[in-house]
Amino acid sequence: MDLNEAWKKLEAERLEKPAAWKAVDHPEKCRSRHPVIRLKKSQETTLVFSVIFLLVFVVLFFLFDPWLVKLFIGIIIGAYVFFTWYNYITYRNLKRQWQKAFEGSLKTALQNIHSIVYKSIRFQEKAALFIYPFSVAAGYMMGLAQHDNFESDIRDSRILLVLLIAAVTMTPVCYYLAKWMYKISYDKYLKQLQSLIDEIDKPE
Amino acid sequence: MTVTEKEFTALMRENRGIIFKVIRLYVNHPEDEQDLFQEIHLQAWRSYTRFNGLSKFSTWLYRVSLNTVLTFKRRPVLVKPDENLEHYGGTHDPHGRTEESEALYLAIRELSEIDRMIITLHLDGYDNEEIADISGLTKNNVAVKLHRIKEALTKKLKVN
Repeated sequence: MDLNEAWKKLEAERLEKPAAWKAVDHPEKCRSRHPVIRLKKSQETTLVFSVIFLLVFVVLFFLFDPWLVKLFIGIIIGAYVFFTWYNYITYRNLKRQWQKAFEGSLKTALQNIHSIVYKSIRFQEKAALFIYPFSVAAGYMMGLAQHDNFESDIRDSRILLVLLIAAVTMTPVCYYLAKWMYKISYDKYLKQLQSLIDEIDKPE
Repeated sequence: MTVTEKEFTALMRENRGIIFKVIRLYVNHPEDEQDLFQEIHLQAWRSYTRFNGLSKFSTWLYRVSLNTVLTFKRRPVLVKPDENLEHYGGTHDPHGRTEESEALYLAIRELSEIDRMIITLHLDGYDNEEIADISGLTKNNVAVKLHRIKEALTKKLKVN
C-alpha cells in the first residue's frame, strides 16, 4: 500500500470535522486549560501573593515602634522586594518563551519553560531557608511588642531560648510547607513537560 | 470586530482543516476535541500579532496546533496500542471509509506523539528541514526517525 495514497484517502475520509465541533467566534473570551498557561497562572498567583505580603509587611513596619521589631520586619521587606522582583523576572521570561514556542522549535521552547520554572522554584525554596528564621523572629518580636515590658522581655534568656527553639522548629516546617505548595501548583505540569521533552530527546 | 480580528477569523476559517486533522490524529474524546479546538484557536489568536508572515499561515497554524496539542493535558487514550490493528479485519465500514485509510489511521495513532507529528508533517508535504524547524529535532534526526516510522508503518500495513 502506498503511504501517500493512503494518506490522501485518510485525509478525505477520516480527518474531517470532529462530530462535537462548535465554531469559536470569540477566541479572546476562551479560558485556557493548557499546562503552560497553568504554569503562567501559578506564577501570576505567586507574584500577586508576593506583592500582597510585601504590602502587609510595609504596613506592619509602621505599626511597630521598637527598633528590633523594625529591623526584623525590614529584613523581611527586603526579602519580599527581592522575591517579588525575582518572580516578575521569572513570569516575564516564561511569557516570552511561550510566545517563542509558536515561532521557533517546540523542544527548545519547552526546555526553556521547564528550566525557567524549575530553577526559579528550587532557588526560591533554598533562598527562603535563610529568611524563615527572620520571619519567625519578626513574628515573635511582634508578639512581644504587644506587651509594655518589651525591652526587659528581650533580655530574658528563657524568652530568647523559646525564640531559638521556635526558629529551629519552624524553619523546616516552613520549608516543607513551601515545598508542598510548590508541588501542588507546579509539579504536575512540570512533569508533563519533562515527559514530552524526554520523548523528543529519545535516542534512536 | 477589528480588522485584525476579521483577518484572523477569515484565515482560521480557510485553514481550519489543519486543526481538524491534528485533533483527529491526537485526540480520542469528544470533549477533548472541542476543548482542544478552542485551545488552538486561543493560542493562535494570542500569538497572531507575532505572526511575521515569513512562513505561510498554514505552516504557522500547523506549528501552533501541534505545539498546543502536544502540551495540552488530555484524557488518557482509551484504545490500547496494537489492539485495533490486530483485530482489524477490513470488513465493510458503515462510514464509507476504505481499508487503507482506516489501517493507516490506526497505525499512525499507535505511533508516539512526536513520531505522529513527524509523519503527519511529512505526508502533508513538509520537507525534513521544515519538520526539523517545527519540532526542534536536527534535520538528520528527522531523516532517521522518518525512515524508521515509514518502515514501521509499511510493516504494520502489510500485516493487515
